[in-house]
Amino acid sequence: MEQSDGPKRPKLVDAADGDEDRLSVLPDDILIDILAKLHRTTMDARTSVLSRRWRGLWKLLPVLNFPLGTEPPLGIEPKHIVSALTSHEAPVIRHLIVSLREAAAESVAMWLPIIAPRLFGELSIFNLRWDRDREIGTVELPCFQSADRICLNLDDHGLALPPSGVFARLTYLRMISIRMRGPCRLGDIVSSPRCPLLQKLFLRDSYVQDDVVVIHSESLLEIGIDNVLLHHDALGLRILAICSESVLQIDLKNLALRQLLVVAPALISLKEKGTHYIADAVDLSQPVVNISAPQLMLLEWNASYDRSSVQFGKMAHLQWLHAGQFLVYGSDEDFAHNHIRLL
Amino acid sequence: MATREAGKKMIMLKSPDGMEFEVEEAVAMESQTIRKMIEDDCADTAILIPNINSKILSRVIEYCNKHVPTTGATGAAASDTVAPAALAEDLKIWDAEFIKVNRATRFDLIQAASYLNIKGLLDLTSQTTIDTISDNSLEEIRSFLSTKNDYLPEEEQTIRRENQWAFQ
Repeated sequence: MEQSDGPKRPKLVDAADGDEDRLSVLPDDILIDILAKLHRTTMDARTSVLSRRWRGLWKLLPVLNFPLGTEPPLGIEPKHIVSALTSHEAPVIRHLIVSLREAAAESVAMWLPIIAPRLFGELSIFNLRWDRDREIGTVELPCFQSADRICLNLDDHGLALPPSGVFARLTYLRMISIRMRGPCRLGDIVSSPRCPLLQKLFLRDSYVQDDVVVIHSESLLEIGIDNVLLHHDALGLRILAICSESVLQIDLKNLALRQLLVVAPALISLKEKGTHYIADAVDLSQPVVNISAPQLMLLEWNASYDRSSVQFGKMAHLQWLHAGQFLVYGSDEDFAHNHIRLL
Repeated sequence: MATREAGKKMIMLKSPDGMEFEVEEAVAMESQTIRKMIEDDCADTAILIPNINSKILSRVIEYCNKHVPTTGATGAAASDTVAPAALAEDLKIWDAEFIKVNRATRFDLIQAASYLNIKGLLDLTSQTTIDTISDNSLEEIRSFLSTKNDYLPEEEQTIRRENQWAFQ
């Protein structure tokens, strides 16, 4: 393949005003700052060829970006990310943003260990898959002990969380379109012992292998779970339990649960939408929903409400109640009655 | 700690070529470097700004003057009457005019913004340079920056090989 310097663009209009190289005399940190603003690590690395002054400067960049291009090959190949990360030298990485196209799970996972010890900021991986028939694999996430934010969108690849290690500085975790595989359980990893500083947790369009997810956190402020399936097996327990002294906001959407348990003394806002509760065939008297949130100010409850199966603790501060849309007269009068009762 | 009073406290900035600029403290503090000097009480009478000549320094002050938040000393009135979006739009137009300078001045402004730690000005001044690097071939970038290729041919081949992944 012929070595190219990228697509040709119109000639520069900013004609030379003197022969002096004004930029190369600037100190390293300014040049690195300028390179960082490129948001394209491949382009940063190419500047090494400009002159001796630029050689290897990109290796000191604290931010690395591998975006999808608009022209083929669109995304960087994972093996090239390995080459880049292996020669990169900065001891602290504040950002690693990788957009991949049709990447196999193994190729995503192979460069993660190189970066894990040096990442002190954000890791963001976005994998776009067009070919739905392609085999899905499992990305094994190493423990990022220093990372502050992790955002993963694996477009249906599996994700295995590390069985040990503490995400000591992680404050933000967003996972979209993943199939979470064992042996580590979701609840265990996002709870305080392993994520002591986690404040925001978002999980969307995903599948979780565990049938019981128990989140025990003293740091979480916001939890959003949307379109997440717990366990394939119809007989699975499908219990979601959130027990947190700190959490202020919980948004649940499009879930199928047998039980939802929330103990959140500081909770201010709880929104629930499109969640389907599967009645227990054996013991109908068992409450399906039990929520203790004495400080709650905003409650949006769209699922059916029945005083025996849905139990809300005392909510003395409630200011805003949304009970969803329902027909007062119509085919499902029980549903309507129960909603009126909630109101 | 220097106190930030409602009245306009003035501060003296000196360029190495001897020019003195009297500016509001709030304006000077757009520069994080100067802010730190003031907060650490290292700025009793005048602050000497090394390496930045008076021509560039005056442009930097012009920038800071425009970008200093309108709230504070003058009260909230300014931001109350003008919608934030309109204000931002106005600033954008002003910035676009401000940056219509020759390349040498722009590179000097980059250096000044970096030393004085004025993030907005650094972003503004380096943006054009970034666009150039981003969209052009190495030969074009070299000519834009007036950078001489000081590699021997075989050296350049080695560098290309080292970074081969970036040229795929």
